[in-house]
Amino acid sequence: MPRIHWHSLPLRVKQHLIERLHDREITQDSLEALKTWISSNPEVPEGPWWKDFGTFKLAGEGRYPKTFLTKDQAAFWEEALTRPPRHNCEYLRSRLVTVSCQVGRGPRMPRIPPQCLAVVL
Amino acid sequence: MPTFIQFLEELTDTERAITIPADELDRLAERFGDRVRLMGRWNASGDGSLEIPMAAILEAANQLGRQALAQAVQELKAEQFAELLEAPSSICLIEKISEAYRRHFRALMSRYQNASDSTEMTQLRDQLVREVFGE
Repeated sequence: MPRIHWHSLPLRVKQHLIERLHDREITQDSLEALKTWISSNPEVPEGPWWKDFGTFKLAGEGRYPKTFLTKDQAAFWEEALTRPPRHNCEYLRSRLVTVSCQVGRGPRMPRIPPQCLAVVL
Repeated sequence: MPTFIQFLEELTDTERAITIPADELDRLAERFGDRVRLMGRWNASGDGSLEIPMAAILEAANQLGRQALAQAVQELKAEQFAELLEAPSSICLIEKISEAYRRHFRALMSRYQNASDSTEMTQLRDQLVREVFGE
């Protein structure tokens, strides 16, 4: 299992997260939880994953953290996890318009990428 | 040996920190677990070292008391890796430093949330980025 490469997370993404603390969109407890999690030098799966810190989420793929999401923002693959694996893609397709809007994609239904299935840490 | 003034300066300099190099930190983590990285700012994005504010160490040492501190030093210096149960004072010291550092980190977050001057905000934001993700 790989460990996270924090170098790959752009500085502006890190700064953006901290700025949300000033705006009170994320809490001190959530940011502290992230710091504690980083300090544990966690192992992550090879594929997509995400971790919920309460007032924000961190999404990544393998050793590379990709972005921070707000608490209400669905990771693209997140909802698929609520269904058994064999139904994942079908279920996601039925929810795709909503989900795709949440991640800023157009309303047109794209092909479901393999990374629609992620591991929740 | 620092002079009297140098020593007082060290005591009052809240920014001063000691650095544990990555290899030494790994050895401590093997022995005491991930808790050692909570004692300060882990440079996860950089060289893997840990920076601990002197103020946090002083605060922890004062809380621990002279006898327990001396015992912790002996435990940390021991070449043979002791079982955790055999190193209670070291664990106590690590936890006290972690608590002191946590207070330092929370105070920094509060200062940032309450800051209104844009220059100060930027400075505190960048400091928080370093505290969370390392250099």
